[in-house]
Amino acid sequence: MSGRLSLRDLQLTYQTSRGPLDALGPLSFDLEDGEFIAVLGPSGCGKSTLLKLLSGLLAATHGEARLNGEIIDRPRRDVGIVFQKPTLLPWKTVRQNVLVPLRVLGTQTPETEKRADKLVAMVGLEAFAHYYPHELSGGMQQRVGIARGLVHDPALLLMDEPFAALDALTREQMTLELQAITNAAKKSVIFITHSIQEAAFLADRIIVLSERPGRIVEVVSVSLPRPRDLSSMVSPAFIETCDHLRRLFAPVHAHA
Amino acid sequence: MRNKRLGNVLLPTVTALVFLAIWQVGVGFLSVPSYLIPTPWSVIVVLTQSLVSGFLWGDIWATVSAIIIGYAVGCTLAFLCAAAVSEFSLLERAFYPLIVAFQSVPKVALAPVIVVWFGFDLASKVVLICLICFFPCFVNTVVGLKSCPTDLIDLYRAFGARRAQIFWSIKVPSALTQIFAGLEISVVLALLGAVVAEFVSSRHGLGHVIQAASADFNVALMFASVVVLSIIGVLSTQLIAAIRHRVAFWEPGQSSARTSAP
Repeated sequence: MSGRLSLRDLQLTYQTSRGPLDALGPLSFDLEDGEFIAVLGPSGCGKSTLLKLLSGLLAATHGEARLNGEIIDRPRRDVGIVFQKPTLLPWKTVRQNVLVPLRVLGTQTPETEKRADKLVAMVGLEAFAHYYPHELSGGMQQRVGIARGLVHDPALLLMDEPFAALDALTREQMTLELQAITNAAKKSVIFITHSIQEAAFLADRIIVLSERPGRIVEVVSVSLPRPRDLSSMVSPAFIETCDHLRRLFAPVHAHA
Repeated sequence: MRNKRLGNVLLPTVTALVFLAIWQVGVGFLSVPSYLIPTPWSVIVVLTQSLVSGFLWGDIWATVSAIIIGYAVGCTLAFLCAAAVSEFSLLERAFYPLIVAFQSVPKVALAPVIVVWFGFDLASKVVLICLICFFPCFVNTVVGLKSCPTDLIDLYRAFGARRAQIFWSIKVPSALTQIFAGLEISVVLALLGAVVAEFVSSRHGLGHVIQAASADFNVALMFASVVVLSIIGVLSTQLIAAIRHRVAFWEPGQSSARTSAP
């Protein structure tokens, strides 16, 4: 299952003791079926707020987001989430952790369990299915998180800086793997990140947000052919995209 | 590795034996009267005698049973209150400051009052143990329940989990380490509560034995009772620690306990 997402004037304003605080938006964009969109922006631009809005955990104060035509106004069963930290249950094995969404949703059947096992294999943890999280490395834990995000076959996968807590080497490896995984799973993905390279390597389109309240500065299309691998990272198109993105964040006087 | 572990047991044992030997010899050498300081050997003799004759077993059971009941009731109440306070912010605002303030009341000082209210023996022992066990369990459980990662709660909420499901499936398991930290502190305090209650009110139990022996200047028996109490204390903390290792197996090493003076 995959999905089309459309945002129209999506906006969130918090009421604080010092008056209203605009956290995000207004934002309007569309995510095509099976498209990978990276959201790139400075710290505090409301990226995590966007994720909470899209997962239905927060209600927008203005505008709307629709997934396959339905307004997202409450938690949805067809959205998968991958967090910055793996946030696994330490008392459950890898396989049990991946099964968590199915158990909560009440859709655990032999068939869906098979799907979970396939996903565990797809993220390269077949041999570790019965290990506990504390026996795994940070990168492996995050892979469990990715498998868990996909297990209930969501229409939309939301990823909130999933590699930010990893070391640089693991991070690059995970980026390559995620590329392969999302190619195989053909999911619509919103991927929130701080990293220009990550965004340029993974995304079909990159939405660049401004500082708070996050608004769209520019939508950058990435013309790198898929599947992408390490050689894509040295291709002119990749370097050009990165350079362009970097300039968007550079202070004004550096533009000349 | 194995040698080191053996040394970890052997060294403190040797230290203790040397200490006891110096005590044994010193008491004889300085001819300290036995009604002031008994020799370790005489304590061992009195202890074996009273255990073999069966005279101490009834009192041991009186103390232990009071501890088990008081500890179980006190910790259960603490868990229920902690659950209520951490789940409902209105209750938290209404009760948490009061419960924390109540901690500063020296519960031991209430022992005579408790005797007036609940009579002699078991009932007042259980009540005092309950009161003393409550706070460490309560505070640690509240901290544990509140430290559950919000991402995890969001994940469950995003899948439409109900509140009770979130509580039992993730909040309680994530709090286990903290809960056990509270349980480990409380079990020692339970022992203290039992002895104090027996000093004040009881005709049974090790606390009572100590007091009666004090009236007879039977210092060796007092020491023997303290030894038995210490063994109960060590065994019960070890038992709780062992359960913690089984239940919260993913947390290595010592738990970070929030302790508080009784």
